[in-house]
Amino acid sequence: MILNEKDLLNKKYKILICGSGPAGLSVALELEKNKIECLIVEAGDEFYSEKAQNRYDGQIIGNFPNNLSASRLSQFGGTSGHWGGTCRTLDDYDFKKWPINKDDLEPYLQESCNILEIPNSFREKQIAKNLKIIEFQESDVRFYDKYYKHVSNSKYIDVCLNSIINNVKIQNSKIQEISIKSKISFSIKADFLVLACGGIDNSRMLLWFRENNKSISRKLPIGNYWMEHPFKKIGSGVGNFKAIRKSFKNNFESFENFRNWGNFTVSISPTQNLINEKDILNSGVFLTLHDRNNDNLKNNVKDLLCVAPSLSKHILDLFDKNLLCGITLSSSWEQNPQLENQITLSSSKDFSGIPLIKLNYQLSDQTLRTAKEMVNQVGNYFIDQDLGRLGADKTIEESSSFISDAGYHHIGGTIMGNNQNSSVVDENLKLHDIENLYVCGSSVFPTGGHANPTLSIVQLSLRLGEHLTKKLKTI
Amino acid sequence: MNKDNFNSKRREFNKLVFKYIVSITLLNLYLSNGERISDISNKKRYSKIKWVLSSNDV
Repeated sequence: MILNEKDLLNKKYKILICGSGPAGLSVALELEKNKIECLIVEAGDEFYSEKAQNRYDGQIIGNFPNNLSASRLSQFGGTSGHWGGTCRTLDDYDFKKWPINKDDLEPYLQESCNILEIPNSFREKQIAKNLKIIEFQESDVRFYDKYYKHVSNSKYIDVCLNSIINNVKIQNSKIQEISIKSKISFSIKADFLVLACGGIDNSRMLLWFRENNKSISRKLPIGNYWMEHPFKKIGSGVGNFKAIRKSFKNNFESFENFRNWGNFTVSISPTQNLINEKDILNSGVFLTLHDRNNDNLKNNVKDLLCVAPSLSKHILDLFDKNLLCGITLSSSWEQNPQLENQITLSSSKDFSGIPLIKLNYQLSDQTLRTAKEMVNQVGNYFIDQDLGRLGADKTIEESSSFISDAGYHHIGGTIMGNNQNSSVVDENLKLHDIENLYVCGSSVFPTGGHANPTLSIVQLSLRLGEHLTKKLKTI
Repeated sequence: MNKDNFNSKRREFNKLVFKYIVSITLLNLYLSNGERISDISNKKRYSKIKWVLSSNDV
């Protein structure tokens, strides 16, 4: 049910969830399945409002590519209101620094795919010792469109819009009361509080709670190890259209014509062996072929032949047979967790009195080395298979001047782990210090892999919903 | 502004538009024609791409 603030006075909930995006709603759906009543407190309105969106402003220090506000949405359904919808599970080796492994999320995969309305199919095929091609799925689900009506009629899920949790009262390592600012200010009680307000605001809220409560340890690395998925055109090339298509032929070509970038797109990823051997990060490289009318072809041929004149005859031959095509390599890849990439509170505040954030952000040399190594690997595959020639764009040479296009995947800041000095939440997503405060979303990822995070967020959220259901039975 | 004055301004404007279109067309022709792929390798140019090449390519 959609409630207003007056309906909430003197009410007590078993679970209070802060945020109605994919994370918060997935927790609520799992609780509803188990007939547990919960309240979602959403800072935004039913639809976009500038007032709510302004809470996402902040200061950036470093080479962060995006506007902090534009990449998120403060409204019912959260950022799913404008997400791209690309989905893939994390690789099992992405969990190396996690306190859980891929198998722990596997039981929630099918249900997550049902929520996102995608096939549970994320195949891969090794094409060389160091490379594999991988399958993505595309979701069209907007959580507002799919769930607003459902939640409005739900017996178990209540939602209060335009309401901001602005403080918590903690005693004996337990949240006793939650302060909410809406048209009126009031407090509410809940057995458990789940923060699911996104990959930046989870850190922001916890930092703010800590400012106001000595019970939350200063040792917890809240806001630290913040990550993105750098996204950029990293290379170009020319090749034999027919031979390339034949070489990458697979039975999961649903990712062809991905975002209409060209005539054919295939997604290539490093094997675990390559990641370990070269000490690089996980990566998704999108190889797109363009037709001969595309400017890329002419420019790439010019560029190649001025450094490799011996290829002239071969290129001319392909051109005459109408087989020559231009190639673009783009990539979305992993960024390693760095302590100094962090969210802190700024001295400016939003209209509700909560400080805005300050983001320190730099890319490491390892992150850029990953992009260069992937161009090198795919380039050598092209030589071995006689498919054409690839090269790296010079923009990925220097980490100090490199600025990614758009990743829009906000990861880390409240990372999970077993050690209180190096992580914020435990393997069940509970804050180390506090008995009834949980955090959900990509902010808990200790490392980001290269896969788009929403599917994993939904898996983790369903797992949290199940965990809370079990916890409630013990109270 | 009287009618003659207006027509004179209009003619000036039309001339400007005509010159602009002709210039763009000539520039396009200059940039796109007269260059065969087989000739390109004879030019010394700065490469914007760091190519992955085999030893036989260079």
